[in-house]
Amino acid sequence: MPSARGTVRAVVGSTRSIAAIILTNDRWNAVYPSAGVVPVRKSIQPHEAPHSVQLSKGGFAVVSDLVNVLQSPHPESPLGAQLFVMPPDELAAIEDRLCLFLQLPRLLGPRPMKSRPAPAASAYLFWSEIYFVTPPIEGELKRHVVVSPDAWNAASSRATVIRTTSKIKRDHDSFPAIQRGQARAACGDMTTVAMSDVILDPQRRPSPPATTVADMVAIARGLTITHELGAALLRNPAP
Amino acid sequence: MGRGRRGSALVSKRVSVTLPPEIVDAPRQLDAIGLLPRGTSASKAYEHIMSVGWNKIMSDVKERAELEAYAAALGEDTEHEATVLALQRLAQKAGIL
Repeated sequence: MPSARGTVRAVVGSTRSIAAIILTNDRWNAVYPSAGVVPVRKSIQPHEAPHSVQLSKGGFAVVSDLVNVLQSPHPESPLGAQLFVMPPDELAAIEDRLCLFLQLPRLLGPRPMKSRPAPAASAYLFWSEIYFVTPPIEGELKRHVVVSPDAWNAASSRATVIRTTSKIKRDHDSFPAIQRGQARAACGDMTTVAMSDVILDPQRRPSPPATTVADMVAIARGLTITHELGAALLRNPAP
Repeated sequence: MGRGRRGSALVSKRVSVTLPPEIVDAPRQLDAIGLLPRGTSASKAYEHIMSVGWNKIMSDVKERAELEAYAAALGEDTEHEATVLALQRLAQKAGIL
């Protein structure tokens, strides 16, 4: 049975996360074997505080570490039993934090934010840039677009990313076209990767190595649907 | 409407005249989309319809049809599960999850 958005599940085999909050929408969860979840931790680091929500039942929901995981009953799923359903006000607070973390109000406002060109070589991942994540999956290095802000990427040595695919998709909402239609962004698969698992070497970057602002706006629209952030956008209008 | 459709395992002449006109074909429809176990008798199908309620059944039928159409529209994404698993393992290894 697919996970329901807003439910909290135990996490199996983790030393760090005590639970996970399902955030992808119910339709995505019903169609695909994976779900986007926000980890819940007993404690957080100071740099995680701006992107976390303290929960009334204990622990902190860390939206900057949202990960995409297989749902049960897949044998590799880290999701255990359902613990409880998030109170609506706390779920809304998590949505708001994620919405701001992903800079959705600025991207979907009347004047979309501009990206700044990434340096040729960098010690961390840049927003809107495309990178390969290692190791290869089924013999292929997968391209991922960075959607987390540069300051977070630099401070945490990780980044929130969305894989791209060249496969034909007819679901334009969850897989918006980017790069002039050459690829699609799998918004429901948004996840967090460690910088050590990403190829930073400028000689080994994909071509093209970056998306456009129009691409990022399309991705923002996709995320609003797959992670059901429309209400959060209304609560957090563009500055 | 006096006879069941040719080839239906579920609709018999006796039952089809018992069913109200709007659901005379219901057992065949439910059987076709897998909402009834194969071989369910027409009388059992009729009992099922009456106990669950026709509107509820049609709501389930619509929902299932929409989901299946949605899944079909997405196309076969064979890379999806392998990619999710690989990235999930990386996140676990890095202590993100």
